[in-house]
Amino acid sequence: MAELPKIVRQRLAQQAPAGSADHPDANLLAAFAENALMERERTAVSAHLAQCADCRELLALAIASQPEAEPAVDHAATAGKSRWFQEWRWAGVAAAACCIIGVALQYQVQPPQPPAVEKTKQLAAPPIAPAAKTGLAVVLRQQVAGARKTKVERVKPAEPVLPGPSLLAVQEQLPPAPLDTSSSAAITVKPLEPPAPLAPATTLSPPAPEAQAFRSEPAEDAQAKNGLAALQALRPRASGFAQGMESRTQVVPARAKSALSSASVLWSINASPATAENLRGVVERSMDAGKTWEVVALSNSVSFRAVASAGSNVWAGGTGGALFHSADAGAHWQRITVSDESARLTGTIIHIDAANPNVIKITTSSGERWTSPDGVRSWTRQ
Amino acid sequence: MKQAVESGAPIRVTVEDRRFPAYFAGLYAGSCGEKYGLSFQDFAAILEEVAMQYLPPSATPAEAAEFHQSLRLEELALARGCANGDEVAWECFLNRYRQKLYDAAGAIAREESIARELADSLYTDLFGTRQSEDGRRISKLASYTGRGSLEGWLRTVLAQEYINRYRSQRRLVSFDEKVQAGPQCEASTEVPADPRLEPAVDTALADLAAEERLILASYYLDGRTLAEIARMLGVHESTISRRIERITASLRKRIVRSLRESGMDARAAEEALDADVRDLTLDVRARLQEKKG
Repeated sequence: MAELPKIVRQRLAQQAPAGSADHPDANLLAAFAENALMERERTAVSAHLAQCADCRELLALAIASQPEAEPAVDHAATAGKSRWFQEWRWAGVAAAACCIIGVALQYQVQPPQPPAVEKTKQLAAPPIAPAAKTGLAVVLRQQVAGARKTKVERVKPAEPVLPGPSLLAVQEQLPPAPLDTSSSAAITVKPLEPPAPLAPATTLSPPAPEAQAFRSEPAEDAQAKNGLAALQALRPRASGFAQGMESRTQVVPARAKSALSSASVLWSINASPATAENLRGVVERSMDAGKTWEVVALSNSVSFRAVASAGSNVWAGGTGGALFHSADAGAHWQRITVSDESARLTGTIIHIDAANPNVIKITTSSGERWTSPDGVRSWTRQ
Repeated sequence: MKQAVESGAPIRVTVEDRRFPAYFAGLYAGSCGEKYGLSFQDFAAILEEVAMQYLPPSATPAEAAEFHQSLRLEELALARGCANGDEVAWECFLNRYRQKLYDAAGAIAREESIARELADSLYTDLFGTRQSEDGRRISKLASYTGRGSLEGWLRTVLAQEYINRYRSQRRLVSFDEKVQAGPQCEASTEVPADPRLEPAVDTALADLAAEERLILASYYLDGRTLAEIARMLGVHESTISRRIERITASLRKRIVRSLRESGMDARAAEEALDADVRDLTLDVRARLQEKKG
C-alpha cells in the first residue's frame, strides 16, 4: 500500500476534533454502518468520523461484534462474496468468449449469402417462429448472422437460424426468460427493430474484395448497435460504476438478466454522477438497447444495488432494506415492505432474482434470503 | 374530538389525528404497533418526534414521507413498546435479541465475565431502573429511533458502554505515557522546514471527500485493516485498497501542485513532502540519547 507522507498523517490527525455535543448518536452510527443514512447525513457522519478517533473506535467495535466478524464466519462471508464475484466475473468472461466463439462458428455453418436485398428483408421482418422457442439468444444470433453476412460470402449453405451452440450456452448461463417474453412479439426487442445500421452494409453487395475489408468495420459497428450489444455495451458502463463499489460486479448480471426478461426495456444500477464520491447507486433505464440511459428517481436516501425485471414487473432494491416495485415497466413505483410475522428485512439488498416470476428471491449483504410468490406481499425469510 | 364522538366515528379518529399525514395510518398498520401496545396517536407522535430529530425544518412533506418510510418501523414500535413496559413487546424482544446481545457482548469484551457484566448492565438500562417525575421507568430503548436496525443499535450501545466502562483506564494510561514521552511528542508541533507545506497539505485534505478522509484516517492513523474498513463502509476490501491507492496519489499531486503554485519548483516540492524536518529532529534526538547512553 502506498505510503502517506508524514506531514500528511500529522495534519490528518490534527484536524479539529468535533465537540462532544456533535458526536453522532448510536442511531446514526448504526445506520451509517448499515448504509441506511440519507446522502447529506452520511456525508456529515463521514466528516465527523474522519476527525474523531473515538467515534471511529466505537463504530469499529460495534461492527466487529457482528457475527460476520468472527474469524471463521468472516472468512466464510468473505468467501461467499468472493464466490459470488468470481462466479459472475467468470460468467461474464465466459459469455464474451462464447459470443466470440459463436460468431467464429458462424463462419463454418453459415449458408452462402443470399442477395443483399433478401437479407435486408429478413432482418427487417419480425423474428420467425423458431426464435420464439429459443428466446432472445436466437434473435441475437440472427442479428449477428445478418451483420456478418456482408463480410462472409464463401460459407456453405445451412439452416439460417440454427441455434448456435455458443450463444445457447450464453442463454444457459443467464437466468431463463420469463414466460411472457417467450412470445414472438415479446422477443421482438425494440432496440433490434431498426435495421438501419445493417442496411448500408447490405446495399454494397456484391462486394469487391477490397470493399469487404472496408465493410467489415461497419458490420461490426452494426453488431455493436444491435441486440448483442445489450450484453456487450453494458461492460464499459459497468466498469465506470462507482469505481470499485462492490456491487459493480453485480451490475453486469443484473443488466444481462433484465435484458433477457424485459422485451424492450433494460434496467441497470449505476453510480449517481452527482454523488460519485459517495458511490450512491441509482436505478437507470434504457429504452434503446443500452445506447442511452436515464436515471429513474426513486429515492434520494437509498443507494440501489440490484434491479431485476420479469415482463412489466420491475424490482429495485438497495440499502436499508429498501425495495421498490413497478408493475408497469417503471411508469409507477411502489415501495414494498419486506417482512414476515417475526422479522423485517434489515440489510442491504444486493441481489434480486426474478428469473421465476412466481418466486421472487431477494438476497441481502448479510446473507438474508427472502422469497415471495408475487414480489409484493407475503414475504418469507429463508 | 367532540365532533368525532358525536358522529359515531371510532375514538381513535380524533380531530387531533388529522394533524398527522394520511400515510401514517398505513405505516402504523405495517409496524405491528398495536400488537406492542402502541396506539395510533403514540405511534404518530413517535414518528413526528423522530422526524424533528433528523429532518431539517425546511424538509418538504414528500421528503418527510420518504424519511418515515425509510425507518425500521416494526423495530421502532417494538422498542417503544418495550420502553412503555408492554409484556408482548418484551417477550418478542427477548426472543429475538437476548442471545444476540450476549453474543455481541462476548465479541466486544472477549472475556466471559466482562461480557456477561456488560450485557446485564445494558439489560438493566434497557428495562429502565430510573424513573421519571411521573413515576414512569426510563428505558434506554426509548432513545432508539429506527434509523438503523435495532440489532445494530444494540451493538453500538454495547460498544459505547464497553468503551465508557473498560477503556477509560487504558486511555488515561496512554495519556500518562504520552506526557512522559514529552519532548519527543512536542517535536511533532515544530514548524516544518517550509511554511508553505502545512497550508498546502491542509488544503489538499480539505478538498478530499469526507469518506476519503475517513478511509485515510482509519487506515493510516488507526491502523485498521482493509477488511475492517471495508465492513465499515459496506464495500469489498479490494475496493478500499484501490481507493487508498487513488486517494494517496491524488493527494500527493494536489499538494505538489499547490506548492508549485506558491513558487516552489517541482523537485523541491517533492523533497519537501518526503523529507519532513521533524523526522530529522527526532533522529537527531534519538542519536543524542544513544550517545548519552
